[in-house]
Amino acid sequence: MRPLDEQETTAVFEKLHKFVGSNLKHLIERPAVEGATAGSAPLRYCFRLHKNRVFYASEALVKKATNISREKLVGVGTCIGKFTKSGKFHLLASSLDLLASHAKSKIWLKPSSEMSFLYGNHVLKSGLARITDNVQQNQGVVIFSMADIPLGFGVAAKSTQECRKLDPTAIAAYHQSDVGEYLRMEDDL
Amino acid sequence: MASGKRKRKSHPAAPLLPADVGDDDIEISDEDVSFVAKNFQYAGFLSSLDTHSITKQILGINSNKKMADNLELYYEKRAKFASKGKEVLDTDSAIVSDVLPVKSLSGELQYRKFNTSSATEKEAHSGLKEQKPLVELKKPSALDDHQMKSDLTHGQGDNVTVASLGHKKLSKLELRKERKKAKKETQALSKGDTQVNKSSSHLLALEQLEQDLSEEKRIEEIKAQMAELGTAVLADPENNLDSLTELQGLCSYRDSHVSSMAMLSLLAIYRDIVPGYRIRLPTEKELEMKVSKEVKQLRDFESKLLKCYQRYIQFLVKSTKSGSLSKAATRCITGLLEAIPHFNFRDSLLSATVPMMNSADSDCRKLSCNAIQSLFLNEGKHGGSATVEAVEMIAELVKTENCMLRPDVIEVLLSLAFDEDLNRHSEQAQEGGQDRRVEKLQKKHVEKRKKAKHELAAQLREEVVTDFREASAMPDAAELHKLQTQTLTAVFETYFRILKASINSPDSSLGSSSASFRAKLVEYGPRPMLGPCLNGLAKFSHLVSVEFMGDLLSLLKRLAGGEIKGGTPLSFRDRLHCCVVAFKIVRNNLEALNIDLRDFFVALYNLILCHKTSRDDSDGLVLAEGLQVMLWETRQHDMQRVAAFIKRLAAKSLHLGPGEAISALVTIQHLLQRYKRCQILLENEDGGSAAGHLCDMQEEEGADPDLSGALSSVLWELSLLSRHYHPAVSRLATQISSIATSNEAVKATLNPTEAILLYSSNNGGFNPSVQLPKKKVKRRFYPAYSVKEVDVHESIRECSEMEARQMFRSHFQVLRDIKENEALRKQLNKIIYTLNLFKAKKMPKHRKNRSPMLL
Repeated sequence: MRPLDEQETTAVFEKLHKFVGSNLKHLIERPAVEGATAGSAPLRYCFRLHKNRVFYASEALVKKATNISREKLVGVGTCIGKFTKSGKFHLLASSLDLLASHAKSKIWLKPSSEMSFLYGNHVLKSGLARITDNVQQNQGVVIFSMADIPLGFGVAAKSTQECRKLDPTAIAAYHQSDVGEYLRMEDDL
Repeated sequence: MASGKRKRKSHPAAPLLPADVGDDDIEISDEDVSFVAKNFQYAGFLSSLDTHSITKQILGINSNKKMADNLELYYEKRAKFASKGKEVLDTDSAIVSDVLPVKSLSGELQYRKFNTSSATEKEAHSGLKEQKPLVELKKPSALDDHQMKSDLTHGQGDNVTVASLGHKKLSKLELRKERKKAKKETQALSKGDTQVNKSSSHLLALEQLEQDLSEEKRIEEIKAQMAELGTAVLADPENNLDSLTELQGLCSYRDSHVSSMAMLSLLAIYRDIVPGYRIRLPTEKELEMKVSKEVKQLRDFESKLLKCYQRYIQFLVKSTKSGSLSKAATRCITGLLEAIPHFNFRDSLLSATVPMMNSADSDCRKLSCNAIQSLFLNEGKHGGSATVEAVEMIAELVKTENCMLRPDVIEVLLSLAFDEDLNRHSEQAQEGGQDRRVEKLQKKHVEKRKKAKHELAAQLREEVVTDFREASAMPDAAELHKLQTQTLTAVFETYFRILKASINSPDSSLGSSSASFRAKLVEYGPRPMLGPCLNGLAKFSHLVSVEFMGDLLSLLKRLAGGEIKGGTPLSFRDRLHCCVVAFKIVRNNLEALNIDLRDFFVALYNLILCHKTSRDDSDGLVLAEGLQVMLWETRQHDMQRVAAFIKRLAAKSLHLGPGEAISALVTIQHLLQRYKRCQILLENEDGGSAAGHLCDMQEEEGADPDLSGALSSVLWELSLLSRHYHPAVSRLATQISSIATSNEAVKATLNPTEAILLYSSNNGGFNPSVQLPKKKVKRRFYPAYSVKEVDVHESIRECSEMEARQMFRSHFQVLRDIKENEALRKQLNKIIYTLNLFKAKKMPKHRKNRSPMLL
């Protein structure tokens, strides 16, 4: 387990920035509850790399985790993604809660198309119930059900303006990850 | 007798003759004198006629008493020559009756007016010659007793009928004009007469007076002349167009009062005589063609009228710039624009009116704004084309003036009306056309043989369609649609320009030349046009085309977020207004796709804190409207956001006035009832929900409601609010805090805007007024005291006077006893004190001396 080097940090932050935008600052400067002692400055959350996976954990937890040997340690805090063999960073479904609470642009799905999305399909225009104004093309979007439960995330295929004129069968957002993966790809996670 | 009667009967023919005095003499002289001498017995009365009363009667018809008095001169003369009999009498009576004003049958009054003006106010003097037509009427009255009697009794009626003959042709307006003119005439007359009266009866003196005639009188006469000219034109416009030229000449009279009068009377005339169509002057080719007499006459009339009108308008436009006449000229221009917008030279009228809407003079501004508004509202008068022209001119004005204009210019656009059905009609028509074309093609394909036949049929059909279009007076829908589109583009172009100019700071975009003008607009704030522009956008929000929408929303977003390049920041009101407008636009246009206007919610969330309660209600109203449009009417999906708004509104309503607080609380109530998940805020367990655990309270300037973590907080503000000084607020707060526990769903009966109007306390005092506290409440503060009081009162009521006296006695006895007791106690204390002192003094002495004195 080690902190990210500069290149890795850029890759992770660039990816996160696609989804949370300027809220990235809040993600990093978020005060941690665990291990905070009264009077002292609050501890922060930090990113750690372990076995090609990037974890988001409070500093107190990271300190405690040092007691466990590198081979034995499976994970610490929240796993938000992993680096591929070629050095690219991929977000995983487990980062969904973090992204959802800080997301800039959101898409709400109609109840009829929720299941389709959870099986790993793209979001079609016909399944689009609601969309945040001013979404740019290729921006990261978090996908919610109409009951405001985060289902997954993806990339906007078209901007909000273009979405209006879109054909019902056209793709509005590309699928990246969804909560269905907890069942489908249990082993990978 | 019989011959006499016959002779008398011949006399009525006399009036037809020209009424020269000389003629009278000739006619009457020999025969009549002899006749009178012969039949003196019954004709003698002529010499002894009471001419004074007769003339008075006649004079009384139209001139006043002074006039009659003035004529005493003539009566004196008459008395001298009374013995000479009829001849003198005749001339006298003729002279006297001359004074009466008479109208000719056509209603024209040329007989005296022209004389007076041409003879340079010799009115009083020329009274003898001027009114000759009357002689014709009045002469028989002096000669024939029957006729005379009827004249005496119906003199007035006679005159009236003569006048009414003329009136019959005239419209109401003309009638009014004539009346006015008649009044002026008599005034002028009487003035002249009084002056004559004051001077000696000598004629020479009159001549002197003529030279001294005041300017005032001249003006009066010019007025009368104007009235006369006006009536002439109105009575017969085709033949009297020259009068227009004369009136036009009066417009440039040196006295501004007179010239403005002339301008206004021309306005009234043109309003009536201008035809209901636009005049097109014939081309040269058409002029060469031979036409009938009537057509030629009409053409002449039209071209002449057009020339006069053009000169009039040129004069008006010129005089709007001069100081003294500008108001009258504005009135005329706007009047013309309102009354005859279909007529020629409308564009010059418009181009004069539009800049006037920005005039510094509030009257001119109001007049021109009203004129333009009436153009917009009465499109039937000009078929809609004037609207387009006006709106385009306004757009141009806004462009050239860099959006630094008075708000009135833009407010006018609010009264535009767009027919929404028009779009549908034209679309249907287009679709129909396409279908027909397709059909035609198919048919052509199938039946090649009948091709020729088909073409004929198609031709016929087209002819029928065009004929029908011409026949039906309805304007073409496609044409109207085109006009509307033009208007809309101009309107939205203007609005866009204003929005953009508001973002770019006014200080940087303007040169120094307009600095002085900007100083004049200080009263309207740094962005005078933004408010009405936003109002307009809200009103026409359903007409914004989808292409513009993205740009429009991004502009509004920047304004709402207060992203201004330097200069003074946008006011709270304008920013909130931007949010509301954006919501209205989205709501009215995009039912198809539900768009979450996140940035506007962020703006509203921060703006709520910026609100300051002020004496004037406008800010509060805008806030209430914002709450209603953004939170009340739309459906929320993000509970975190809803909770954030609930929390912030509750916190803010602690600082707000009662009206605004109620509107905020009503919103909270509505949100809590609608979104059950937010009722978690009402539970006072620590820790909150799991939903908020990833975010924390961000208390900074650019706070985002989604990140506030409000769902994990507690709505403690309600308990403070339930002790609010305003009873309605405290009641509502208690009601809200019990929403989660009470089973019955209390439906909110008010929406925020209604609430703020109902509970606003800006007019002073509580609204609705608080009931005065009952006495019980008072008693609670002094329990011991009041119990006694109650006892006394009740006993008084119950007991008789004696008993009361006794009770009082015992009561005061007790009091007296207490006092006495106190006094005795005091005395006792004193004694004890002195005794102790005495003892203390004695004891040491006793020890030291052991004197036997004490023993």
